[in-house]
Parts: sequence; C-alpha cells; structure tokens
Amino acid sequence: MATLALQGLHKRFGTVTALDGLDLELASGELVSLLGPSGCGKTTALRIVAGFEVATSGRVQVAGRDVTDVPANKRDMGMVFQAYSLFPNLTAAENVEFGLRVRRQAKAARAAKVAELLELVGLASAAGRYPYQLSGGQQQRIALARALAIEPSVLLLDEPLSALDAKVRVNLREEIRRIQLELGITTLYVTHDQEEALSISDRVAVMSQGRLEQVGTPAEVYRRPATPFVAEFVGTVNRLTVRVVDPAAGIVEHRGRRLETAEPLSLTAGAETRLLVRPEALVPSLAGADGTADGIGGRVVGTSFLGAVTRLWVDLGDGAVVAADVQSAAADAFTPGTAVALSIRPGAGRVLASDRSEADPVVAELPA
Amino acid sequence: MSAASATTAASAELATARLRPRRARAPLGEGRARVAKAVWLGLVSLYFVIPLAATAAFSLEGEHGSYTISAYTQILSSSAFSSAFLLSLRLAIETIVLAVVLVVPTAYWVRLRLPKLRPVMEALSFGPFVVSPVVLAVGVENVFRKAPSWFIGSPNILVVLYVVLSFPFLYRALDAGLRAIDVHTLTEAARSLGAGWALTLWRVILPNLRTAIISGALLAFAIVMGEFTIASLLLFNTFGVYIETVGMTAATGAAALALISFALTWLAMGGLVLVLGRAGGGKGSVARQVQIGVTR
Ligand SMILES: Nc1ncnc2c1ncn2[C@@H]1O[C@H](COP(=O)(O)OP(=O)(O)O)[C@@H](O)[C@H]1O
Ligand SMILES: [Mg+2]
Repeated sequence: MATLALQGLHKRFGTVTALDGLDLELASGELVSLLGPSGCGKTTALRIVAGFEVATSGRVQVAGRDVTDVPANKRDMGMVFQAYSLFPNLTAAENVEFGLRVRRQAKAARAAKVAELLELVGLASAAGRYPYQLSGGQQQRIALARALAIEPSVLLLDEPLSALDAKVRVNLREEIRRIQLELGITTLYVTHDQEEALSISDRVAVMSQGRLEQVGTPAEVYRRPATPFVAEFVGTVNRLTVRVVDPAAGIVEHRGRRLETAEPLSLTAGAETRLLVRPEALVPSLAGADGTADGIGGRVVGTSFLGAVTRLWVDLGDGAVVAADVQSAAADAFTPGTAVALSIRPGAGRVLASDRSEADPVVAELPA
Repeated sequence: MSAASATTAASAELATARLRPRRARAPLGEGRARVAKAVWLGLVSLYFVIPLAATAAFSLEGEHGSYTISAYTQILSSSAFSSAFLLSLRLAIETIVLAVVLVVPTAYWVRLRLPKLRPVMEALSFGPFVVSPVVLAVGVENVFRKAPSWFIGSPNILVVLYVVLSFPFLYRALDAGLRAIDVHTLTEAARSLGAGWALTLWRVILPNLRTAIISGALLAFAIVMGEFTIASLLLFNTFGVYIETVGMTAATGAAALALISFALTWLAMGGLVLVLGRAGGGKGSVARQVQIGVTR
C-alpha cells in the first residue's frame, strides 16, 4: 500500500476560501477521518486528492510520488461518493467490473475479481441486480466494491453513509472498517459525524474553515482537544469560568471552590480562564436539606434520556446551564427542580492553552 | 404569529382527519378510476382513429360507388414514390446521426462544465421556431452559394438545415435526460475508475440518455419525413414534396398516400427504436431504460 500526503493545500472559489493551507500525512494502511462541520472544506480536500478539483496551491503525493498534475483517471484512487453513484444501466456485477474493463483485463480475471469483491461486501447474491433494485446501503456497498476492484493505492470516501438511516449507518461503518483493515488500504474518510469518525479511524483530523484544528487518535482528540473548536465539535463540553490559583499544580478556583485540572498551566496565578469539562466528568449528587453540598451548586432544569446514561441540564444560577451525565438507573432522583451539587472527577477538567473564543460564561446548550 | 401557526396546525389536522376515511375507501375509488381511464383512452383513440378510418374509406373509393385498391397499387409501383421516400429516409437518418454526434457531447459538456451557457443554449434552441423555414432556406442558399457543388447541389445541404430544425427537439429531450441523472457524480465515478472522456461519454452517459436520444431522434425523424418548405424551395424531390404534388393532382391517391406514409413512418420509427435501443454498448433494452426512469 501507499502513503498519502496533502501538502499546503489552498483552494479558492472566487472570493470563498475553501482550503486555507491543509497539511496531512497518512501512513501506509492508515484510516484517517477528515472531520468538520458542513462547509469547512472536507469535500474540496478529498476532490483535490482525487484529481477532480485543482488546488490553487499545494501538492498531493502518493507513496512519495507527486500526483498533483496527474489527471483523475490516471491516479488509481478508489472513490466512494456521498450521492448514489452506481451506473444505472449496469448491474451490480457490471458496476464492479467497470474499472477492470477500462483496464482491459482478461474476462476470466475480471469475473474472478468481481466475485471476490461482491463476496467481500457481502452481496454475492445481488450480482445481477440493477441499482434501482438495491437499497441505499446495498448501493454503497457495491460502490465500495467497485472502488476497490481496481486495487487502488488509496481509498477515498466522502460521507458515504450520510444518505442512509441510522441503523444501516452503524452497520456499514463497521463493515467499511473491517474491509479496510482486511485489505490494509490507506484510506481518507470524510465525515461531519464525530461519532462515526471516532469509531472507525486510526486518526481523526478535525477541520474548521479550511484549516486543520487537530490531528490525533480518537482518544486524543476526545480527551485532549487542542482548541475550543475541537472541544465543542467532538462530543459535548461544558465551559466553566475559573481563576488560576496554582499554575504548577494545575489548581483553579470556581466561585471560591478549588478544582484540580489535568495538567500544569502556563497561566499566571490570578488569571481568569475557562475550564472545559465533559458531561461524563461532571458528577451530580443530591444537595443537602439546607441546599448546600460539597460541589458546584445548581438546579436541574431538564433531562434527556440517552440510553445507558441520562443527561441532566443544570442551571448554575446566573443563567449558565451545564450538562452532567448520570447512569440512567440512578436518574429518577434528579427530576427538574431538584437542587444538586456537581463535582468534577479529579483531573478531568482541562484548560486550553490557546483559548481564543468568545465571552464567558459559556456552557453546553439546552437541547432544542 | 403563534395564533396563526396554531390555526394552520389545526387546519392541517382537520385536513388529515378528512383524508383518512377516504384513504380507507381507496379500493372502490381505484376501480372507478380505472373505468374513467379506459373511457378517456377510448375517446382519445377515437380522435386518431376516425380521421384515419375516413381517409381509408375515401382512398378505396372507385368510380360509381365501387371499391378499388388501384390508388395504392399505383403509388406503390411508381418510381417517383420510392425514390422520394428513400431520399427522405436517407436524409432523416443522416440528420439524426449528425445531430446526435453534435448535440449529445455539447449538451453533456454544457451541463457538466459550462452551466452558465445553459440559458444561451435554451435561447438558441428557439431559433428554428423564430426564423421561418423560408428565411432559413434563402439565407442558407446565399451563404453556401460559393460552396462546392457536391454540397450545394446535392440533398446533403438539406441535412445541415434539418439538423438546425431538429436541434431544439433533440436538445430539449437531452437536457431533460441529463437532468434525470446525476451527471457530475456518474462522470467522476467513471473517471476515478480510470475512464477517459470519450469512454465516459460512450459507456456511461450515452447509455443512460438512450430514452432521451430516442425521443429526440423520433421527433427529428418526423420533422425530416414531413418537411416541405425548404426542400421545395431548394428544388429537391423529397417525400414531403412528393406528397404535396400528389395531393394537388389526385384526390384518392392523396388519401392513399397519406395512409401509406403513415404506415411507413411508423415502421421506420419502430426500426429506429430497435436500432438505437441496442446502440451505445451494453445489453440494456429500451424497456429497461424506461423502467429505470419510472422507478426514480
Ligand atoms: N464548486 C464550487 N464553487 C464555489 N464554491 C464552492 C465549490 N465547492 C465548494 N465551495 C465552497 O467551498 C466551501 C467548502 O465546501 P466543501 O468542501 O464542499 O465543504 P464540506 O464538504 O466540508 O461540507 C464551502 O463554502 C462551499 O460553498
Ligand atoms: Mg462535503
């Protein structure tokens, strides 16, 4: 397999800057997700790699070879599209065979390869069906088989699951990962769904406004977001306004209460900053009869059942609302109106070095 | 505002409430709809059949109330008829081939890469309706006066004009066909699989435009087979000119000719559908294309 490198990619559409200097390297056999909100430039980046779009500047390399000026049909890249893209006039098997016919492979070799790939995506029985006779999920499986049939050096997927319903989406993403690992193919996977990206990737590259915010393993990106954007976009996060007490020990203070953060701080004592806390790191307990308890005081204003856990929306007074998760089995005690005390799991709070976003106090929003 | 939306919500609910019992009675309504459909179809076919039947009856009339098929035998055995028909047939086929070769790649490229040109193409496609055939014929004669005689003096010049005349029909049919498929995604899928432009056009775009091409080609065919003005101005004996001449000289002959041309044209169109249905590589049938169109 091959490495893939995106080097300093810039792309402008008229006055719109879609990519603003994108650098990303994929190791051989690695699956990297490009994750970001709609319009941040993910598709543009993928299309430049595929050769469908010409970068304003920057290079693309495959296995150390510069392919920036190679036309799309000579790049040997497999691509799965967001929209259904099977050729409507060809059967599933003929679709898979298409790239092999273009390459003028012998008939027997083609037939063997098609059978192998249909088997791989679990659709051997659908070989003779036309796209309109296949479900959305099946169509995307065939599209994957078609892309893989040419034994591409790199596999590119642009939100391949976004048109499918939730259950199929989860199944198919596991399938894609299984196949990717089995073939060991270098893969760039575009998605706006953080759960999808975290669940199938070796590394996640979080994008915003044409730039990379952070590249790291799913755990790194989730636990140690490098920027407020990443913290907000990947998972839910609460932000608490705190004052630095002891930078070396990572101690901060929230309304007079001392809290321990994950690591030493580069800020001076007395400085005001924001502490980011995931809902699962914010532990609610029932406040005492006098309304006081050991923790940040607040009142439950809403609950959302999420399955194993229930998310509580807690008003801290002054209008700030934070999210805190409890096991659903224990959630009955926390009805709206209940006074609670929130404590932070030791070391779970994180202060961002490059905290550059808007005014305090900001917290997770109530669900719409 | 909330009051307004509340009323809308309420009326929407009312509407669904009113709909529900009706949906339950659907089978009955369906049967009635089928009868209505049959009656309507019958009426429409009468509209076509009555004139044809009347023409047929008239064409068979002999002297003093007798019946004869002499009008038919005369026409079918005349060499003027066969040469005119074959000339028009040849022109129609040449027109279709030239128009398809010119218009399909153009419409495809405009859709794919030059969307800003679409209004221009639309406007151009009105040209033949705006410029009368007389003007077209005279204009072309002037322009081509210095052209070599194999071109200007032969019916080949008609092919050029007929391509212009049939352009709107073919372009519009193709534009609709292109709109029905995801041209961009299909093109990119083909290219990522290694296909160059020609292969993409031939193996991906063309097969999926078959229905559109056939309907455009049938219209072009009908236009060429019946065209009179230009051919007569440029002094060629095409089928349209021949029909006109017979019509002015023989009454029952004209009626018989009308029916013959009707039958021949339909036969030729059937042949065209068969030929085009197979063309463009792949094993797809027209029926399947239609089916795909319907399920979308
Ligand atoms: N062909 C184009 N012409 C003009 N603007 C474009 C084009 N393609 C993308 N853009 C713009 O570039 C930005 C990035 O788009 P895109 O890469 O599709 O984002 P994403 O895939 O992350 O949703 C958007 O602002 C979009 O409107
Ligand atoms: Mg996109």
